[in-house]
Amino acid sequence: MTGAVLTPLFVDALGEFFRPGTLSEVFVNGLSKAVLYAMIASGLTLVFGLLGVLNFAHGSFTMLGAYLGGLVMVVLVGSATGDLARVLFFLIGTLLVFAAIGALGGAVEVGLIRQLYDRPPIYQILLTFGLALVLDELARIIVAFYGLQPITDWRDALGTKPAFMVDNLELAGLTVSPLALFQIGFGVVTIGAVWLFLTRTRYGMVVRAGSEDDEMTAALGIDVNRVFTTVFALGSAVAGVAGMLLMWDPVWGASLPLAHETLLPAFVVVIVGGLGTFRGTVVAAGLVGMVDATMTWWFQNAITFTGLPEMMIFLVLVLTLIVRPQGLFGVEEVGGH
Amino acid sequence: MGWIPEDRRMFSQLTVEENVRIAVPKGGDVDAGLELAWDAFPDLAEIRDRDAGDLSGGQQQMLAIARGLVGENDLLLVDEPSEGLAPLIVEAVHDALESVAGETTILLVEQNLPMALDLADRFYVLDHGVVVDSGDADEVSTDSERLRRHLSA
Repeated sequence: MTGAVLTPLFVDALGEFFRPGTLSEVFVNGLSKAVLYAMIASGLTLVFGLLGVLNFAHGSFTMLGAYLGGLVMVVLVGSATGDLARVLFFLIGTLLVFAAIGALGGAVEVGLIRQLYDRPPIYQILLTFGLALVLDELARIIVAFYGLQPITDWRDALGTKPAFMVDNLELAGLTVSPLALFQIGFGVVTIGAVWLFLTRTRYGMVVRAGSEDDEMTAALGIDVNRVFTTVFALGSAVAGVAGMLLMWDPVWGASLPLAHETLLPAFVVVIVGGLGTFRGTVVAAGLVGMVDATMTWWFQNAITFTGLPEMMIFLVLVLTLIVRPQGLFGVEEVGGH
Repeated sequence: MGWIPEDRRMFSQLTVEENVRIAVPKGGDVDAGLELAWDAFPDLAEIRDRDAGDLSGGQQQMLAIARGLVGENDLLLVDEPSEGLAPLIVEAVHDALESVAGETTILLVEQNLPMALDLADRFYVLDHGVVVDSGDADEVSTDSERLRRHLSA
């Protein structure tokens, strides 16, 4: 019986899914998720590769970045502010978020994590997990204190978006979200900058070397501790900037759950890509973003079962762990320290 | 102070050239460092863009020595550089170490006796962590009785 009812529904949905308008929408959504996951996961993977620390507070940096960026936008943008000025303010906000969250990350590495390098990994996990709780609760207290309503979703920041990003564009039968395009462009530039830093600068070379063998790197006369701080700060800053991008996104917004809603997919991306590899992280982010966007469409339009889209990316994780446990681009030993 | 460890410890995900570059001290002359490395081991120059992880054992050892050479070190710790290498490569390693021996103090641990004695000014024989003999390398090279005593120990 169930089969007989499901089959025509499924065929209808299949037809709908393969319409150019749907495909373009899903593709652009997938790509925008991919670049955001890549931005958040790249810091996570660099920190793990180099410091051997799984940073559970990484999503909290994204959440703080979203709130801080939202605050900057709400302060700077008035109802008469033009679109161009809004984009300009966004860039100013991005620099501020990059600097502030980067400084916070640097302080966390120097003040807290550094003290525990000589201990077993469980100490660092407990520390970053505790830090995530502290940062999330601090944000909750501040949000409640200033009476931002509703508490879990800061709508004001959404309103600072330029008008041209609000509605989807219909172009020759294709449906495209300008906000998603903006996220993709901005994210690609950020990831490209991180990639150039890693491959074209001496500092980036040191980061890659230290990820593999920090003792040998130190033996070459390099101050590895300073590299640790820089990488932790940089990873945190990029996660914060990802929060800035999400602040304009009605699906996410500047909100408290952002911390774990971004951390979980980022962890999946890091593991699927292979712990500690930047290239693997970028490829895995593409894969996970596309699967996420595709399954979100299917579960919203064809199968009524909320909560499953999020679970599908964990299916990617499980399949990867079965077929290739070290991840797509993983090498055997990283994160040793 | 430079260190050339027995297990070489290449950065396998960096290219050959990057492995040399990273060993040049900050603010040092990178081009001069690369030239020094390629002069000592012309074979490495040809594979400069390959990942160090893809190299053979001999190539890795050449790279490890090259990394030690370009570090502008006052003291170089070299641990078993000839271990497991083909004779031709042992010779290249020997020549490279000899070329820096003039300006760099080298502490060499080596079981290839002819190579060690040829490079060394002074020698120490360790037996279970205790120095049992020491002296000028030249004097022991010609003293076959003294050599035999240590080699049979």
